Amino acid sequence: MRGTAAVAVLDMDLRSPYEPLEHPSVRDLVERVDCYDLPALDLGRYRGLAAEGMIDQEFLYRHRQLVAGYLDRGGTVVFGGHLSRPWLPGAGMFVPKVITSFGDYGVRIVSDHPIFAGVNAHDLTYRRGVAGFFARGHNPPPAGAVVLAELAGGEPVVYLDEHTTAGVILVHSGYGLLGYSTGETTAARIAPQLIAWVSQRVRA
Amino acid sequence: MIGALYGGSAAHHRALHEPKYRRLLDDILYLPDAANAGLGECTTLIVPERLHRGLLHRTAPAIRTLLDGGGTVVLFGEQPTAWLPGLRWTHRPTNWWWWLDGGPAPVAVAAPDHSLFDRLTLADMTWHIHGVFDPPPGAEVVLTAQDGSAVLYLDYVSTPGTLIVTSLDPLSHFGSYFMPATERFLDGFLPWLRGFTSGTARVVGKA
Repeated sequence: MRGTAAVAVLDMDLRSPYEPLEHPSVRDLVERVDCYDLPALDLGRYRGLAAEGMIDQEFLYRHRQLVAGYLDRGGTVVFGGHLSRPWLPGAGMFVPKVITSFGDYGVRIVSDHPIFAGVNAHDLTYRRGVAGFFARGHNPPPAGAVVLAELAGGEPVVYLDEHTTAGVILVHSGYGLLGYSTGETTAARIAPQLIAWVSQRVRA
Repeated sequence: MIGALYGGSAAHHRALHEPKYRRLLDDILYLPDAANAGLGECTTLIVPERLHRGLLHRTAPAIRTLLDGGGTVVLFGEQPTAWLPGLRWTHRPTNWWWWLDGGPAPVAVAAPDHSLFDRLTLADMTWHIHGVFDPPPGAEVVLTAQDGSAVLYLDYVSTPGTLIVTSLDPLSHFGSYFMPATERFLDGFLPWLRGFTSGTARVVGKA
């Protein structure tokens, strides 16, 4: 039912199923919303607002005051992707990593946080022995942000920013953490733990 | 004049603004604006994969007008609805791992003499496919899946213009810093398209 979910997930293709959000561990807590319906959305009904992957960042830039207002009221914004337009408070534009070997894609979890509880970083680095899915660069965080995960060279690929706004901003520089709900590895813990964290977070 | 629709994603942003590609494009048209205001002076339009379907369908009348005027439209990626003439799409589950499993490559050459191969090799067109097409009779099939279904074809018959249709999705992968073959594809395809639309590329199927 519209407006009862904890997290609104902006979406570019509602006609196609998105398997990670259909998973029993997350489906009752998320609501996919057409990106272009954002201006009409009552954001006050959601604990979190997520935008990932191929989302239209030009549109988010044109409507950045809606995002900023939601954060000023204590909301949580989850972004996963390469920041290509400056719509997200505090976040720097994506910096691709110069890759010289697959070891450069190695992921380290560097801060304790509920969304990574029980997650083995090896499962983020490799899929079927192939590296490079989790992140290929970073969105530079602002001062005061807490880095949760980084690449082998220290590039911050997941960070949490509770300083720039009155709300909370979680940024992943890969395709997005909500995709991590399926599969047989500990990586599948991330999306349900992330949604639970957003749902239960007490507003300051 | 070649234009490309831009859906606002980071991947499209990178692919279309990469200098070596941007200089081959005369205009970049942000899809929500094109859906309202049309396609400007473009006579050739590139339609990247994974655009918002609702907005794309609102742009369809302007794209039909371009084709009816003899223009050229390039469609990349999945086309689950027949929103332009001649489109018949079949989804295929994607085998992302054929190269790891030792399986056959996902695509094969159907027209080795086509002018596209002046600029591209099969390896430059090989990463994965998400589906295939059943092209209209008279269309020129250039690339197929291993079972012969069309992956890239040129359609001179469904409209007065030219539809170049492929299920390949190079822009989103190049734009996401994935899959080196997609960069080689764009390195060859975009200069070919300029030649094709200006009449300097060899045109095999067009009498």
